Amino acid sequence: MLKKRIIGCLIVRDGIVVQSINFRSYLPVGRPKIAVEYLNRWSIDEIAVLDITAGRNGDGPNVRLVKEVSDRCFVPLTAGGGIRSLRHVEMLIQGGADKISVNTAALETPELITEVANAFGSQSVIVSIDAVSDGRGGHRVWSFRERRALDATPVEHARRAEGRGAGEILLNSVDRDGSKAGYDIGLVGELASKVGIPVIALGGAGHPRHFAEVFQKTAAAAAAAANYFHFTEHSVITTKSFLERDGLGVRLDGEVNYQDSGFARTGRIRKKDDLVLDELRFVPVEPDEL
Amino acid sequence: MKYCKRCLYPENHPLNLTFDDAGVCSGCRVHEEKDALDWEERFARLERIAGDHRRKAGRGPDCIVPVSGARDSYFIVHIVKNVLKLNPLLVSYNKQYNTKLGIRNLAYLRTLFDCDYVMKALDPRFVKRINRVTLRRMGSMYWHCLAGTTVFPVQMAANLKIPLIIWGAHQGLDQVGMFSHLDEVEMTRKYRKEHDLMGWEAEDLAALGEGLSAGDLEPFAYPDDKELEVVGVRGIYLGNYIRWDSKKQHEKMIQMYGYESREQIRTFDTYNDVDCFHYSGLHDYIKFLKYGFGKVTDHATREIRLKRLTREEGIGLVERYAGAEPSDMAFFLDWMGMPKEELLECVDAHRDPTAWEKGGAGEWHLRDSVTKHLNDEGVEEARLRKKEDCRFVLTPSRRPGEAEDRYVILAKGYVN
Repeated sequence: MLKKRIIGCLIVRDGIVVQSINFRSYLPVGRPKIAVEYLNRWSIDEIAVLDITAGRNGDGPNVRLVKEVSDRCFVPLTAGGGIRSLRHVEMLIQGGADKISVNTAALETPELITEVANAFGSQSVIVSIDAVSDGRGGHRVWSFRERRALDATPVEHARRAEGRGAGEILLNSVDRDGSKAGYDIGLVGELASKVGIPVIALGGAGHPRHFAEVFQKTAAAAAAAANYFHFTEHSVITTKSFLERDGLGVRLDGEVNYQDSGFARTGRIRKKDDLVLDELRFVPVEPDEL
Repeated sequence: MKYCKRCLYPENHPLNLTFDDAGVCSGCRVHEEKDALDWEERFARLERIAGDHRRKAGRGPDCIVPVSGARDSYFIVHIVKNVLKLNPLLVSYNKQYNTKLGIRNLAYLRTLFDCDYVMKALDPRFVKRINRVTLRRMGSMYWHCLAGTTVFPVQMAANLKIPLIIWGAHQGLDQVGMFSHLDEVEMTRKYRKEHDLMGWEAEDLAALGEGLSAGDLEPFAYPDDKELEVVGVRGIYLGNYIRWDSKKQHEKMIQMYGYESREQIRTFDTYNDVDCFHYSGLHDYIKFLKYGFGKVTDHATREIRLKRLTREEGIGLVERYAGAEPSDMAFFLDWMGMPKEELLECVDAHRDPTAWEKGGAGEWHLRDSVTKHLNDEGVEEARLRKKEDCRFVLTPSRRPGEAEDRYVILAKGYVN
């Protein structure tokens, strides 16, 4: 069986990685280059750099950003934000992106999905969908540009995108964004059961059990998080270690794997037993060559 | 330059800043949590972490607490030792530019709280060599202080197998709202490299080939990832669990333990950084020459958010302290054996072009200043109501008349 993927999303606003909360407030984290360097170091499976201010003034995607981060990125790199044409996609792929993610363009000029799939293959096209609760147990597609809910449901939109040649769906929840309340299992579960292409869940991660939950209860192929990976040392590795413990297959092949560590209820690393720590004083540790 | 409508921060803050639709910065918005969160519940979280790390009596330290002779050290140790009832090992990196008062505060700290204490002090000639490189490369005379202060506790944690490090406030959270208190952000090597070290780790300096080898820089090298994993090293910040108010905390420590304060060169705050000759002097002047604002802006911003200064009073303090060349510059240059022109040349190369422009005769002009943004649109709407006065206490000296005339590394005789 395919391993589940853990994807780090870097939300970039005016050149700076930010935490996004409820699609409304943004906290400054730092430089994209350093965020990419450390996600790599922490055993991330893929990275998506999503520039939410690119294309704002009618200019194209942030190619410079992709160039700047791609030489430090040793895992598949997805670029998103401001993509309106095949030419934009070419520029990003030449700049070092392995895949591109389209959101607004998939709503406004959906034929672009097919053009990109024909030119670079379906595996290079992620259609990103922002879903918002309709207040009656269902969801609607949220337009980031118009800042409003559209008539289409995420399932309808995703199926059309699949029909046009999209390779994956990145499904984000506006309501869960930055909430730490866990993924919207109902939303992800329904959509993943109704499309044939891989679905990446995003929005709400705040505890390693949220990742476990989305894999146990839905057919999501990958779970992505943005804010959550900024909070702790080795955050991706500790999350994967937690998932392995739950019997979920993830890639955890580095020297550092936290397999001897436990977890507190908060999801953070638990202190080792006093006797273990005492004994460690006499055990040489081989440095990991990075 | 864009300035926050509530505090004094400009958009070129080196830790980065975001603004919302009301023109209020991320730092001010996160600060609002201080009056909204249930701090009893937050403290209970801290007690649970402490409970997990408390060892049986006689089994060695429960945690590491990095200290200096200032900056909330007393308060942090007070919380850890007397409130949480943990047994801390106090550690510090000797930043070389110590005042006698700072060393005295430190001596009393470890004695009054009955704690073991370890200090790392480097050869001063080596510190001068590092300074020459970091001044040239990043316009900083403080890289070694920041690098040492942020790494020595982690090295001790890894070496002595003490998994918990307890820090005070998180600078990124407190100043620019990089994180919410609810994120319970912990220490990471990533934050250290990017923000504390301005992107330069020990390895990066060694790779320059400017006479500093990896071996030389070993005192600043972060422990290997595997070492951190094996011990399970975590660094937590008390500011996520305690409503952080540095001024009130220092005043409590003055009352309870006789913490000594002192007048500083470039700010009105008499509590923070009194252990250092240069932090609020030349080092801060360099910050001003780079970014167009200094420590007084940080301190006034903090007091505006805590409702002890109006924005206008804060701007008045900036006008009073920001520009002047500090009196400790000559002292540092003499110690370094460096002409003033060389120092300024290093710093000029790192001036932020969004803050400074060079005139035709080679003189530098500030492009903008918060002092020109007193009555901007939106300031009234963003205003916090001032609740109390902002007076900083000057304590009597434990050594009245003793001159601060040189750096002190170690001293005996201040307390037995």
